Amino acid sequence: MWAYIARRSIQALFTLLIITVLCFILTRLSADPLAQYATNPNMTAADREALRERLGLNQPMPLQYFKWLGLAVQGDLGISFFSKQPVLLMISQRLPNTLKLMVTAEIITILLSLFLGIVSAIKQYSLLDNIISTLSFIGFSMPIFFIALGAMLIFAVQFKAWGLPYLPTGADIWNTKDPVALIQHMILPVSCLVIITTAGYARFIRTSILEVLGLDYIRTARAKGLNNRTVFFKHALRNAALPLVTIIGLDIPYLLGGALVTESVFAWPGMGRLFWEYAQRGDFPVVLGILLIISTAVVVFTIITDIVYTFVDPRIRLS
Amino acid sequence: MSSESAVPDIAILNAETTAPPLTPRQLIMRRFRKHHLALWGVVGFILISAFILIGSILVNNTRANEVDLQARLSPPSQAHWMGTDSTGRDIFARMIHGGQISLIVGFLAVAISVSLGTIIGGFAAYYGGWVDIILMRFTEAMLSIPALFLLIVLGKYLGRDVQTIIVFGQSYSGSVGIVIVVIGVTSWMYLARIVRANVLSLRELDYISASRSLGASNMRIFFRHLVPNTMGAIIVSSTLGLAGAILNEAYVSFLGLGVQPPTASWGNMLTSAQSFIQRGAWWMWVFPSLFIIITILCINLVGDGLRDAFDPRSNRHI
Amino acid sequence: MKKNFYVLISLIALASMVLAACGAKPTEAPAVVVTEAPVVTGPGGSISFPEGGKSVTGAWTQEPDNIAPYYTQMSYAIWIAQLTSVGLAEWDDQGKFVAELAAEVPTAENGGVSADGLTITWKLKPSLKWSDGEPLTSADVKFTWESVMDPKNVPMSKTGYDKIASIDTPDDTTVVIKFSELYPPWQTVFTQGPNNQGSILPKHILQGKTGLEKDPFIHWPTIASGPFVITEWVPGDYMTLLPNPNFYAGRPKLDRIQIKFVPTPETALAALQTGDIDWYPDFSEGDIVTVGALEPAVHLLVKPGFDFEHYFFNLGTTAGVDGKGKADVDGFCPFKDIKVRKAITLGINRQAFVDSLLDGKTTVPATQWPNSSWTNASLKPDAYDAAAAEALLDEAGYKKGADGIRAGKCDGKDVKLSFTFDTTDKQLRVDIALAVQSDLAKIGIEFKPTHTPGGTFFAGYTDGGVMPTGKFQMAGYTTGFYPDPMTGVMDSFSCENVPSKDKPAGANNYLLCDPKLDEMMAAVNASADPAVRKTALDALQKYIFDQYYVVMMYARANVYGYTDRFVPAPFGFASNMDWNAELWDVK
Repeated sequence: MWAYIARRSIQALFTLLIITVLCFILTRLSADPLAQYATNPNMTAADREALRERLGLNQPMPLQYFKWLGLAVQGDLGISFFSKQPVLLMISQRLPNTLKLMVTAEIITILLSLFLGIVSAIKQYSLLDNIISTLSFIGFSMPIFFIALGAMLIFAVQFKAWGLPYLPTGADIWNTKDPVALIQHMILPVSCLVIITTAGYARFIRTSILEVLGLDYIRTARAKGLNNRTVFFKHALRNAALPLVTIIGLDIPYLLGGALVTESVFAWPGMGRLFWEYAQRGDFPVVLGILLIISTAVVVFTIITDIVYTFVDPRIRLS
Repeated sequence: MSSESAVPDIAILNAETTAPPLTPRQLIMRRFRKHHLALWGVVGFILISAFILIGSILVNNTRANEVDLQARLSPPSQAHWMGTDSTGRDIFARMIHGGQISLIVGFLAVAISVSLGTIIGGFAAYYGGWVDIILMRFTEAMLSIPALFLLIVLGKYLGRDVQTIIVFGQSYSGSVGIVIVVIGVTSWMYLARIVRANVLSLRELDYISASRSLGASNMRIFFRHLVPNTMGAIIVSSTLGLAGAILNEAYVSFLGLGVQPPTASWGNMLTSAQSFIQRGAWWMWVFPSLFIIITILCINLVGDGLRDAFDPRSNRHI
Repeated sequence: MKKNFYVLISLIALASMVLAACGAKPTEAPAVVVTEAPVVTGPGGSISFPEGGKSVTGAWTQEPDNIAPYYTQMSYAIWIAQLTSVGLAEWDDQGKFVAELAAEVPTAENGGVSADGLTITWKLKPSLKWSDGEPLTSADVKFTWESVMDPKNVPMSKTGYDKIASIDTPDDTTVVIKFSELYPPWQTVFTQGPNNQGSILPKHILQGKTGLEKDPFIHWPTIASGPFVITEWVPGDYMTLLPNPNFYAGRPKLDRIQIKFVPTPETALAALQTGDIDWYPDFSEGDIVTVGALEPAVHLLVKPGFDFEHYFFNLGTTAGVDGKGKADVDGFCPFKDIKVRKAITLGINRQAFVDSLLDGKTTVPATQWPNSSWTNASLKPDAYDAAAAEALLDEAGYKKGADGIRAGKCDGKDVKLSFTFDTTDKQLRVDIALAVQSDLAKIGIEFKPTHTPGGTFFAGYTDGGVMPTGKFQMAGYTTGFYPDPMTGVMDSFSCENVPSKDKPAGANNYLLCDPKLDEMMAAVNASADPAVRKTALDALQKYIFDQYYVVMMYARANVYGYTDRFVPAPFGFASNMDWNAELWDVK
């Protein structure tokens, strides 16, 4: 088992190396960090050249990559070209905000989808099942930008205009460490995220519960005389929830990346916005720093998930 | 049943006991029909497809790009059934054209991602060893690379060389091809893992080793036996993948990285609608949003129905 | 066997990482970041925001990179710099040059400008102080020049400062600047405005430091010479500014200004409607009607400016002219014929899209100096004339083919009038390009717009940008030449600035080399006398106009939205909204 983890860790390092190379190439090719200075007539050609040299942007690409890599393995993610701040500092300032949003949304999604999944599994094809399914599928089918923008315009702008109790737009000045303000500002973005992801999880839970309910040992338990409730909660649910755990494990890395559109619509100072704004500027220290963190999380959680598989289903052997 | 038969009961009994059991396909169809929502999904999808296909025949694509500054931002009327946009183009025509894009991108992207997912996941499981390790690590790497990046880079390099593609006399922006490839190439990972899990358990079965000992080549075993037995997962994944691809296209076009103007796509119609929401031009965003949601909803319902239908253990009532 | 293999691989991986780590220098910058708020001291101790005090909040759609002058080119940073720093003089809302830190503006009459124009003497007001109480003297002015010219610093621009031969400071309030050659735009040196960053840096803070472009003080100046000091900056979120009690014009009326960083103008619009923010300075011209519809709760201000949107042709030649201005690739051949350029200009109905897409809120300018006293008033933009355009194209030898697109011969080769147009993906640009495409299709020209995000479109030569590498045919963007009329003009039009592999940093995006044009540009800076310069500039404008080198699309306007409770002070475009923030108030 430890040998397996060691092997996977070494493979993980290679994967990360390749990911960073690919992302570096993609970032450098997509935007020029000095593009923002292109049309200002105040900067002469000599000024731009001096800046390019100072930032090390006129060196050959492989050299720029290895310089970045050398510092990254020491834990120094470099300095952003644009904001002149250390990348690690910028990320550590934004990450808690994103986690507050995404973890809350994930927890609410899991609880809500467990409830909906169980109800629709028990009452399969009934009217209740159909109503729940329809509503959750409508939510699932909405593009995030539609629901986020709509929610913001209706519940924040219009409600205030109509004199109703309203929620903040997010564009007001508030302290992310103040619990009351935090909850007020989280209501809309979290709701949007929950609406679009709940249906997916709920259907998955429903399917795996139905699968388990059809198995022989459930029939045996019922034949033994156990009532439905005991059968359900003691046996079925436990086994049905395990696949859900692995799905959650695979989704966790993306909680770090934040939700780009949601953070943009609600002016949330998080990682998604950081990534999007700096990617457009071609600021590769920041972008690579974020991607490195996310890829590390993806790789680590994949290993964890694969190990959990073996505990869940002893038939699967670690190769 | 013959009314002249002297002993009809025995005949019926005989018929029932000797009648062939329902084929798997018939079983699946029967289970599918029980899922009422899925049936509504089928109806909805057929209606929207009809709108797009018939519309494409009746309304030429050039109508979707006719600029008419005088008529800009007009509400739905006799002349323009769904109103006009910021440069006076007819939104009804653009909805049809955008629908073409959604369907084309959806189907082609799904075709690419399903093929890639099946082959990569299947080969990884079937061959095992180094092949498995390399392919699975490659899968993880792809999970970490954001599709948005690929779109920016490919758009920058290929967007100018491939200006327009002409298909069936209609011209589309080259960015449509780029969007198809990028969505296809970044959505296969989940299916790969599922196919791999399936094939892992299938390959140990007796009839596979029997085939091998009979001298069947690896390719034959793979495509003739393993893949068809994973068909359930593949079909369900394709349907949900279609919905995902259409949603993805709307998302990236909305961000400005997908289908480039002037080619209409429901997603990029919403980008321009954004600036005019507060000006009261509701028709600019209501129609594309409604169509996106309904299309994806219908496909998702059908996919859900298929998932129930293919799962033999999900029928407590049959 | 397998185990050995893994051991080997891991050793190799470890080795390569160690090698890379050894090779890399640790980041040079002092990674110290100011995390606590600087203290603002004044008479009576430190300043804080009193309960119920007067506060306004603005929305910025981009977060600034650096605030201190000389180290940023972002408008959003410069607008904050106008709140925290001042220069010797500035342009007011009427466009007049007025004194700020100086006692009066140097002129020939008061002896401030020497007879030969090479020596400018500024006299500062007495008893000037920084916000931390330290005196602001002529030594700070001299230090500013020295630090800009220090080769160990990389400021954004040294233009003008590199023409100074020496600065003498006979006493604390006198600054004698000696230029090495006649520099007519001397008013842009040590003055602060929306397009020039020339205010004073504090010697007592920055003395002895180099590599200032990475210095924390340059990123977040903790003391100010202007009306406000930045006391709080939560990255990615918001910024707080408190009044500077030592400001030379007295304590500002407001008790606090806050700036919230929002992602899009739509968010800013929503926030204006709910009153979460008080003003947003950067709406697009297409939003004018939307913001105007929000009266009386939200007010709209439209200030036509010096910036203009233009479309232009790739006029590059690999041969150059007289051996100068060689581009990497040749431009689109038909554009060499002035008749084709004129036909395209006449064939675009510019007034129509100004009336419809811009709701008639701005104008089509004739020259590159719109809305300013430097404009050549005798030139009027050509009216739309499709018939004349078609006649010109026929004359030039391009006849309409079966597909409706004109074709003919250029330099002996067959060519169709079908070409690409590159610009960014802003919604307004997309819409206008569509209107142009439709107009040009009517006269038989196929115009193919391509839109790329700004970071890609404006990429430099080494990053494969379409303009410097000459890979475009027509392109379009916004620029402007102010506060001095010749700011950046030479860089944009002269032969020696044509970008190529020998000169990758060249900024002449038109790839144009016209020796006569170079001569006329030099003539504008040959004298310091404004009247002489105006005559030369008029001639330059007429020449560019007659040659049809660029198609002037529309004059850009700055569009502001602000809530009713906010009372800004009067401003013009040359001075921009933040120039006199000490006068802002709330109802």
